[in-house]
Parts: sequence; structure tokens; C-alpha cells
Amino acid sequence: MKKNWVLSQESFDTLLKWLSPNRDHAGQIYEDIRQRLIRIFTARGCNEAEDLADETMNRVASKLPEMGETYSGEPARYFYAVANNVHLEFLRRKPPALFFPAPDDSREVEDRFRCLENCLTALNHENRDLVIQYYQDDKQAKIDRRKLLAKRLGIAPNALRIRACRIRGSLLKCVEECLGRK
Amino acid sequence: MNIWKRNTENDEVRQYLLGNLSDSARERIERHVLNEAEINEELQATEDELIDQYLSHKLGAREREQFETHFLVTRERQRKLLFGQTLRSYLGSLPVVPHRNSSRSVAAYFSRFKLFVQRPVVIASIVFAVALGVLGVYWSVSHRPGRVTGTTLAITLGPGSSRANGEKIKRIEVPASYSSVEVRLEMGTNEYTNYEVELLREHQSLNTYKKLQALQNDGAYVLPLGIPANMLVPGDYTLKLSGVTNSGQTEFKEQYLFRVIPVR
Repeated sequence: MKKNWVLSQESFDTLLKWLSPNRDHAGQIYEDIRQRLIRIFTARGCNEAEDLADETMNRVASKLPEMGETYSGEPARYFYAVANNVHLEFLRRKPPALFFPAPDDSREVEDRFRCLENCLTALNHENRDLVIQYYQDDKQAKIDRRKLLAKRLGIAPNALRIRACRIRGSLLKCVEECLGRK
Repeated sequence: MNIWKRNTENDEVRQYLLGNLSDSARERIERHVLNEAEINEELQATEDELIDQYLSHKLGAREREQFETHFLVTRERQRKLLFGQTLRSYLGSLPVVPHRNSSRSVAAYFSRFKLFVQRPVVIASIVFAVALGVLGVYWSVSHRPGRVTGTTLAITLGPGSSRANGEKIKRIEVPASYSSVEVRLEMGTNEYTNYEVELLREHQSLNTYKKLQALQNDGAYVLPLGIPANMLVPGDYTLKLSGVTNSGQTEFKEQYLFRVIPVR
């Protein structure tokens, strides 16, 4: 393992070239693999998922000169193998989990509500209606509501679920940006 | 498989997120994560569902523990949990939007009337009961100070529904179909014969309602107040309640907050 190894421009260029001869396309692949690695590290319960993904990318870049053109498989598989090693090392030195304090100040709760309200208002009518109807209610009422909603929109239940999840993700981003401005 | 009622215990993605899979099962999923776009959306959606189930106390003891010790260990998921909490509380403070009628539910709705068509005595009894009810409501509304006419939306505000107490502000929607909003202010005691309530929007006085009298309702006191709906544009409102002494002096008693949100 090459500890304290810093990704130079030359190594980065070599890595991109390995991913694709087209530099723009290679950049997209790089970012795509990085995001997927973050997701994997996150799912494994690593609280430094981004750092571990970056470490994986760097290690692959550092090994490319030794590896030459001998590796013939999918690059993603190679990244995955390196990620497993990075993960094992993480487990050996597992840092303590960090927890966000829940907002206990009523002013902060109110700020979050206000930001959410603004973000909901910024959505188009269809998306706003969808997200409110999808997440409102409880138990059987929620199931009935979602069935009706899917029927009204003419989409399958899972398509509705994914659409609601996307809108929720955009709301989360919007609320955090709004809170950051306060 | 019916996605609304699937057996979540057997859901591999869910178990993956909770850290419950064997190494080989985990690797199988992770290879999908590396190579397929769709599974990432599935993961995100399942994460949201786990968060909602955690917040609504629907996870069993073991899953709850795994959620806290494994799932929640990353900062990103803690942010998502916080957001889920906000969304849940916010939606809980909104009036529930009625289901849009599907053709089936419309049919079910109308099919109820078949019974009545076949039984004229039932119809006559119901018409009579409804007429009595309407007269009763009309009488009570028309004998109340600050009354308004037309379709009325009723809300109840408790004392201390304020930010200072860390409580949620009551949120209401006032659709154009309503001509008035009846606000019922809950009061602990009733020491005055008359009350005054000042209505403010964003700290600007809109109106003062005078000569209001408390009513007793199940052993508690409420002060009803009618506000024309067109006055309640979206924004934050304060109602300042004061008691009027025998000499005509006003003494501040309580304040109540509510927020009018845009109609969805």
C-alpha cells in the first residue's frame, strides 16, 4: 500500500486514460465510480465514506504504472477489489461514530419548518402535491392514498416510490441550502 | 409482488442497509451497485423508508438497534434522519388532504345511496335530523359575537401554542371556498365577563374584536372568534387575548400563534 501517496496530475491523467480514451467520458466514469464507492462504504457503516472512496481512487491511480496493461477486466471490478482492502484497514482503526445533535431549540425547529415550507412552495404544483400526499397519513390510510395517487398519475407503485424519493432528495438539498443561508 | 405490502423482513436491500447480510450476499448486491444505475435509486428509496419507519417506531427492537448502531453511523444518513423528522412533523401539522376520488371510490360513494332510495322512511328521518342540525348550528353561530356568515373553517388554538414553549405553530389552509374562519381560543380560567382579542399579522395590527364572551365546553373555557377568510392571507398571525375589567381597563392574558399557508 502506498500510504501518504498524493495524486499527481500525471497519475490522474493516466487514470482517466485507463477509464476511457475520451477525457470527458472518462471524467464521468470516474465520478460515477466514486459515487458508487461512497454508497458502498456508507452501506457498510463507514462514517468516512467519502474519504475512503477518495483513498480507493488514489490507490488505483498509484497502482496503474505497475499494472501496466496487464489488467483486462472491467475497471469497476478492480476498484471494488481495492475498496475491499481499504475497508479492511478502516475496520482495524474504526473511528468512533459522530452523531449530529438533534435540534432542541424551538427557533431552530421553526427555521427548518420555514425552509421546508419555502422549498415546497418552490416545487411545481404536481411535485408538491405528490410529495405531500405520498408522505402524509399513516398505516392503511397511507397505503390507500398511495394506491390512489399511483392510479391517478397512471404509474406503477414502484415508479411512484422512486419519484417521491427523488423529490424528497431535492427537498433535503433545498432545505440544507436554505438553512445554510440563515 | 405487491410493493405496498411486501415482506420487509425478506427484503435483501433493506437487510443490506441494516448490515445484516452475509459477505457473499453483500458482495452480490455491491456488484449491482457498481454496475447498475437503478439499484442506487432503490437504495435511496429504501433508506428513506427505513428512516420513516424508525421515526414512526415501526422497526422491531433488533432492527431499531441495527438502525442506530449501523445505519445511522454516517453523517449523510444523520442529515437524512433530521430531514425526515422535519418532514414528518411538518406534514403532521398540516390538515390531511382528502383523497382524490377514483372511479371506484366514486362508485362506492354513490352506491351507499341505493339503500336510502329503497327506504323512504330512512330518507325522511335523515332529512329531519339534518334540518334540526342545521338550525342548531345556525342558532349558535348567529348568537355569537364576531360572527361571520357562509362556509366556516373551525380551528382550536391552545394557550402557549408559541415558539417560546417549543411547540409547533398551528398551520391552516384557507381555501377560497371558505368565507370565514372560526378560531376557538382555549382558556384555563374565565375571570372576566368580557374579553378583547387583537389580531396581528407579522406584528401589524389588523383588527380588535371586542365584547367577546367565553363559553364552557366540557369543563374548559373557549373563546370563539370569527375572522373573515379574505383577511387571512398566507403569513404568521398572533392573537392577543386580554380580559376587560369592570372599570373598562384591559389586562393582557395570553397570546396564540397560527400560520396560514398557501392552499395546496
